[in-house]
Amino acid sequence: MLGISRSAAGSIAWVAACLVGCGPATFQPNELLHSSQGLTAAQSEAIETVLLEIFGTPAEPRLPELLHATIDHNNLIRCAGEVISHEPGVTQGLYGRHCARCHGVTGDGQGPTALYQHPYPRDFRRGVFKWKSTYRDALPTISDLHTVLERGVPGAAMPSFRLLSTDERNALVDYVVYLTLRGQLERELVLLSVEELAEEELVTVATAEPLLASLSTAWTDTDRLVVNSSQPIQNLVDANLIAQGKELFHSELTGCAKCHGTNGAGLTPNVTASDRDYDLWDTERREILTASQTTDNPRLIAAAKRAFPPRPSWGRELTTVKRRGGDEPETLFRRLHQGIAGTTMPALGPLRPGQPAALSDPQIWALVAYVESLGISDEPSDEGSPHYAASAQEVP
Amino acid sequence: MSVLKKSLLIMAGLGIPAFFAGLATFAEGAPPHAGPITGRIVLAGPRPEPRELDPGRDRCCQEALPSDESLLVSDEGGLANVVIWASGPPIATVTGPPNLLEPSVHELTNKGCAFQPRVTLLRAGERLVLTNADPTTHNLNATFRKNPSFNVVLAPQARRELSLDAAEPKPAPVACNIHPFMRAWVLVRDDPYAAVSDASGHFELPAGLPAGQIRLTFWHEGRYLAGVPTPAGVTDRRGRIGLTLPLAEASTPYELGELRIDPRWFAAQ
Repeated sequence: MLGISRSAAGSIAWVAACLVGCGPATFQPNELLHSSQGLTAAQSEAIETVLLEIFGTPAEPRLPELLHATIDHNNLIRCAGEVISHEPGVTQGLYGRHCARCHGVTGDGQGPTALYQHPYPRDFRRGVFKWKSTYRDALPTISDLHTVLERGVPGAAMPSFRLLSTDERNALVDYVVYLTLRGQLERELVLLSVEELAEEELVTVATAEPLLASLSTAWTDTDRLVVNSSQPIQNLVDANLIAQGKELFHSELTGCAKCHGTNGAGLTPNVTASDRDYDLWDTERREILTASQTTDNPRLIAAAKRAFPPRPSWGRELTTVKRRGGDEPETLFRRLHQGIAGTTMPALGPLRPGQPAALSDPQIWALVAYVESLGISDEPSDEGSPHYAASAQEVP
Repeated sequence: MSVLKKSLLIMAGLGIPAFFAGLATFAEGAPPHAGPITGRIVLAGPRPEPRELDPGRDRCCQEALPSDESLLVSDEGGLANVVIWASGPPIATVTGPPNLLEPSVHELTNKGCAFQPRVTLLRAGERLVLTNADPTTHNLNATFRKNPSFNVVLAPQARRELSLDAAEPKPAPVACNIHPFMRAWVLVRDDPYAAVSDASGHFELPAGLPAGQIRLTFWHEGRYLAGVPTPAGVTDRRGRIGLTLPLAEASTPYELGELRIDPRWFAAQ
């Protein structure tokens, strides 16, 4: 633990130093991924060269023509580089000013303040976002990213940026998409190098272009993958609907109470090794750290020492806390319908419109009504699933 | 060391391109076929004690007492659930024997708070049916690389059917987050040339591969089986060896024999 803290402190100092301008900040390779996949120095260098050619540097971002439909280059210029202002009300270096200290210069979620946050800030590089309106496996819409910027993430360290101008928020959203695409392409190139190419066959810009084209298309396609209810919003304070939702919540049709506890009161966090669970980001981190314990690959050992410790995740308590992804009924409907991407929260709705689902839309609305009602009246109850052990709350 | 063995070792260690050179012949006309590939994976050492699982809070799981299946070794040392698949450019042209072209349905069920089977092999385009034979809710969280990932709720007696259309580079993990000790793997390939070792460690890849040079990958529970000695050389860090398959009748297997794994390899799991 001491080793992790010390090395993490070192990397924090390094990123902080770059932010205050001791030298130009650079995009950092996803060293944990490169090293755990056993990339050679030459393979990693080739990937870095391709990414530099396509995306430029934090001070001088490049935008390939392929991405002109997705991202405005002027927005990148406004967000990139050091924080300066030549006229009142106009700031350059918006990403460095507002985002990099948590999300990191590279968008890896490892800025200088990240280690002290719970949850860790979002690592954009996987292209997986939790708070969105689209089907689970789809990217968020641009509008979804705006919503998170405007609302923030209540209960997490992400604040609201409502005080910024619309222009500034537009610019930041474009920059987040740019960093995400860069991270997504890096992952594709790493996996391509190890899975499909021979060790001495190095990636080039030409290799990367079709991959980037397909990643870019996925960003422009998201608007048609928004989840829409087949019926309008119900009267969510209807007692019958709430009662129906409560029954579903505690039933084996949904299993909600197994993670969120009876009446959504939460459970003792999972503590035994085989009962502990992790989200997508921490699962990968944990697997790599486990692999690093038996490896003789010095690069992987070094990367593992610098990695943030993985943190287990568990079902949220629903009675008192603010919902991180927002409380609006439509948002809750989509979250129950598709679960939360990258997390242990599963989907109750279909994978695509018209496909089979665990619950119908009206049933999901009943659950929304019940979840919305929690926090209004949160009397404890002994009710629960018949298959639920009496010792449910007694796990140490 | 014989010249043949040396060249196979080079192929296994470095040489994917080494066998690219001789492949053009396969593209012309019907590929000449090889027999099945057989072998047995054996743990060369004492059988490890299975770890105890915490069945969690669900009564149904506490009663079912699921055991840790991540390292299943028979009394004779056979290692189950090793996944072996063939790859390489010649296989891309293989359509397989007719009976393997029929899209079929593979069931992955939840029973006794364990996934059954532990490893499912599919060809791209085949259907995966998810079922739940337990009286408790499960969820099925599958993280794919080429297919869309999903995480769905599966109520008791529920049935969900989906199509996996893209080949995957390696087995994808499947988890139940309500019961995090549960684990399964799904491998989707374009061709039928993959196998899972059975309870005694035996495996057989079907006959019909093109004769000539192919690559075999050995994988177990999320890790490539690296450093395993085989008659065709030691598996490289991605669990691969290069093989030169002779033309053969479907009844004449290419025998890899016993492939012995050092138990220290599993020690830190």
